[in-house]
Amino acid sequence: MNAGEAKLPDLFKPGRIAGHDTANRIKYGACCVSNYNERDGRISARELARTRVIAATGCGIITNQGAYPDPRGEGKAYFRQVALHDDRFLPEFETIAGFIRERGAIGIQQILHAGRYGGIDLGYCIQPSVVPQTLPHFRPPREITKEQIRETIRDHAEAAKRAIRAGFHGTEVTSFMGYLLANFNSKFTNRRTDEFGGSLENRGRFMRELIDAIKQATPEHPLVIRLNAAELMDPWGGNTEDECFELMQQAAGCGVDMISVTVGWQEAPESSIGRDIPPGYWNRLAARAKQLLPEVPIAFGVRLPDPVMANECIARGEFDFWEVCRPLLADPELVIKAREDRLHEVRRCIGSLNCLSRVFRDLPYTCTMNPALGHEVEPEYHVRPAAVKKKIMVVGAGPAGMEFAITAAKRGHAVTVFEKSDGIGGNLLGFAARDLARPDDLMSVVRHYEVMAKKLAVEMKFGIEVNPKFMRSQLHQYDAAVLAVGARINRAALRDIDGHERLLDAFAVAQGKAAVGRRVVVIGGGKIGLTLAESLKKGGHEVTIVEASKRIAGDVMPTFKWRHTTWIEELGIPVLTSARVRKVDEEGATVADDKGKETVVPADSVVAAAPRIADQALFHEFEWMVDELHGCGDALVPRGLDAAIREGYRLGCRL
Amino acid sequence: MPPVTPGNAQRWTDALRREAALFEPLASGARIGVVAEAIVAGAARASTMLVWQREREGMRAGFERYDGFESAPVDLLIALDEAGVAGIERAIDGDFVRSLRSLVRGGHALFFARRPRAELEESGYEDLLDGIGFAYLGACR
Repeated sequence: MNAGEAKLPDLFKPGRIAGHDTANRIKYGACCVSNYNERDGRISARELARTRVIAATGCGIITNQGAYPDPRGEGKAYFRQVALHDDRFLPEFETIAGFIRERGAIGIQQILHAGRYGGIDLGYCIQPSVVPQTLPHFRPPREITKEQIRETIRDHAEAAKRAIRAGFHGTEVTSFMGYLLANFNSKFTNRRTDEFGGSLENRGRFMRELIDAIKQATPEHPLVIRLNAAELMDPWGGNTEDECFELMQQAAGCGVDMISVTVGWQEAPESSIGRDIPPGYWNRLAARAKQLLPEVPIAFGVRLPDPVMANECIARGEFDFWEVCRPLLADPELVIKAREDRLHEVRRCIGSLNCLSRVFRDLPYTCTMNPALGHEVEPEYHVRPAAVKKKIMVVGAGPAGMEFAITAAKRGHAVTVFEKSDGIGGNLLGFAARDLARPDDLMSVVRHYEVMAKKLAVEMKFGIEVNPKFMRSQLHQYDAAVLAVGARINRAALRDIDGHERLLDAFAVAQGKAAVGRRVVVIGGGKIGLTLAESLKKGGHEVTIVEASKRIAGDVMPTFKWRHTTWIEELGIPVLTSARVRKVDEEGATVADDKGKETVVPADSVVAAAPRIADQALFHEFEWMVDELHGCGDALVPRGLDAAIREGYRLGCRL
Repeated sequence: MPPVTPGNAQRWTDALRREAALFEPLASGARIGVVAEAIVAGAARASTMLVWQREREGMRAGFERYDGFESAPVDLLIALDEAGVAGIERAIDGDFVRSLRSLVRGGHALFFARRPRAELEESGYEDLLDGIGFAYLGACR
């Protein structure tokens, strides 16, 4: 037994699903579709390379992402979703099932008919009743007829048979998030008056017939059903928690082999999986399901990213299998590291929801923390031994510099990082600590680099300001230099402000190097200004934000925009948009609106959080001092954590 | 079960016109309906709907019969729960957009899109959707 298995014995003990033994109690969940595939539903080489990595994660059960089952495409929700409505799709599914079997895992193919969120290529969607969309990017609804219900059930059963023929052990249907099955189950979307609507018994009829059809089509094979324990739509006429659990009982009564407990609809007014939800928040729902259905294996993982917590839950009998996906996007070696007692090396999912932000813009999903995700098929993204081992200096210990350093070190380069401050983190450090959602998630990025730098023997030299004089002292000692010095506030762009010399720098304030008075004006309503303003306000300051454009949060990840706008309102921070600071003096800031009308905002301090400019002076100064000179992250173009990590990694793979 | 007291049409017109910048981009004829949630949930079918309509000279409010969202002749339908109705009524003479945004965030207001997003954007709804926070909803959060 590995050391990690001894520490997490319940997570790593064998499990069982419908007569199949599983190596452990970990189920790779089909958390969302990748959008890596062809527009007609065929699986791409990119997807195959990705699923080979998934198969090697060490999970006992692996769920392959949801395939739509109908040839009409009414079930298709995502731009490049895979299809399973025809035998022509089988060869690639066979390959994936083969990857999973090779690793000794149980392979489950999810069948995903998106219902209310489907019909992406059709301009309409089908659902039990015509309930208009509350999210306008989905298609207008049409009511499904009884004949179409029967046809849709047949499509599911045929898709299930195909999955088994491809070599999967079993299948999964999903009532998560407001997909077709959820639409029938919920009284929010099911307002039918026939035998498929009305009472809970009738609303559950579609689910029961679906389970029955798949069970008849694939009698020897496990069937998993994903069911909401809470829709979070009950304020709008959706199911109550009690009704959700009654539906679980119906599914169990039909002989499903596992229930995967989920939470929330796309349209729910409250968040379910973001960084602002504490890990473990929804565990009570899994425990209730297990208590209600002790004989049915329960899988759960909603906002439960921690294997230690999962182990404890399984030990307490709250659920049977930890269902995990996003943490494995961030670090595909999570389970292996847990098994080998190397959890401190894990790259944690930081809940930025970059993955979903992209999927809902019809883009392939990527991960802030795992720059190789989705690029497994490309050798350019692989970490392989360097042909020529080099001595490399890195300037800046922020995420870009550190990501480069550890990637290059893994390839065999000798890497030294020079950092002017006394620690790792760069500009992230000040802002991570001020994050209102969950500072620990962002701080985990810093801690990861500290651990990996030590493990990979990256030499860290703190308190050194790298400038031409210093560089001259290092001549001919390094083969390459990487400038990852980040961005700074562009003071030159603020020189038109009368009294601009009074402006404080947002980075200096964030890092505690500059103190602000009680009343503060923050120039810039982007992520830097917002994060700073929110934390200052929370710390008791009176804060006003002045933003030049029409809206705030222009550079914020789409799934986090609403959080910032909510925080700003909840904290009562006045925001002046389409406005510019004209003058700063002892009274405060004189602000002009887009019509030129001026107002004085009383302030003791005015902080510049925008615009940012890449810190590029060293590129010119070092040009003739080192053989190879490279840059990455905000030192090239000011953006953020995602670009910093991605570019540091790419450069680390290439150099 | 009207969403707001009938007879307040002029006050609503005044409220909308105070927010002219937000509604200005709407194409002439654009219509937004406001109803009580209980109606949407099916507790009552026929009722009254507050309608905000973009006309050439600006926004105008009125009350119309509501026969269910399948047939409501509006682009967007805003459903308010009890707290939502009370909240927006309180805000009629103040900053009702801010109030509506807060109701959306608090789960007291739900929007039903009667037209696809592309059509809404073509009709000038982008700023409005963004201004009330609607654009930020969605995706599994």
